[in-house]
Amino acid sequence: MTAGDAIPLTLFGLIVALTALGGIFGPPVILVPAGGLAVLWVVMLVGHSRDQR
Amino acid sequence: MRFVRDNGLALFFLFIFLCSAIAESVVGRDVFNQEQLMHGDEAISYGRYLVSSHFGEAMLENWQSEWLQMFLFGLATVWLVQRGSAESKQPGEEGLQSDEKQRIGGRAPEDAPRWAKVRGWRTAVYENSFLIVMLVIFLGSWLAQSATAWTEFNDDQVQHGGSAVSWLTYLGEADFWETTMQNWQSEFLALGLMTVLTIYLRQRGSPESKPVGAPHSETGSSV
Repeated sequence: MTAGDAIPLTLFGLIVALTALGGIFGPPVILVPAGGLAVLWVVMLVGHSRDQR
Repeated sequence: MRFVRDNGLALFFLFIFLCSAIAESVVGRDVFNQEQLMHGDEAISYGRYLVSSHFGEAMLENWQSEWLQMFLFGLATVWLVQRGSAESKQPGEEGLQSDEKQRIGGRAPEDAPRWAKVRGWRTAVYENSFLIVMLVIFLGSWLAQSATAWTEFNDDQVQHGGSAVSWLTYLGEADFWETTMQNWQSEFLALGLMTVLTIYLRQRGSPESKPVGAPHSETGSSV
């Protein structure tokens, strides 16, 4: 994986992590949108691994 | 005159942004002062209202979600497609695409931006520059929203006999996440609807639409 590929994964990972922290330390229901956002993160990871094959 | 014509879209939105922001500040001050008088406090001047947390929160809670919306749409449209939508790439083109298609490195034309030609870390940054800038503005707006909303929250607490909380404690309060989610959900709904509606609906002459006679199955805008 190149730096160019890692940048969007990291940036979006930060948003997912901050939202998840809101669900952990704040209202637990915030874990629902955090989980929803994480779906795109998984799609990106799967896409990257497919591209590398 | 040519400058105005060449930049009409940006100038128009800048103009109506300023008009709306001014209107928001005027009516926002009216609302704030009505509440002040009801609580037996003094009304504040327009200049003081412009730097108040009331105005800051009202503006920033909307800003942060707009930048997040643009960030997410920029990112999601790399990896996900919607067959028939004017906002999507062709099915099968998911992913970052080849250097040739993206015109970078040795495939860059003579007049390409310099960082698209040089490779290395500069190309890595430049090929993600839209996301980077959207994220920085989103995080900045969200942080500023949390600070202004925290001040408002504490004012309200004190007025009603409660006790003030720290900024970190406020970040775990339902109040912060309610205003955040209230804005996020509307942005996500709008993006999803726009993606789907551009399959079936048209606007003649707009690059946000497919040509009027394009079949519903045609993906991407070609105006």
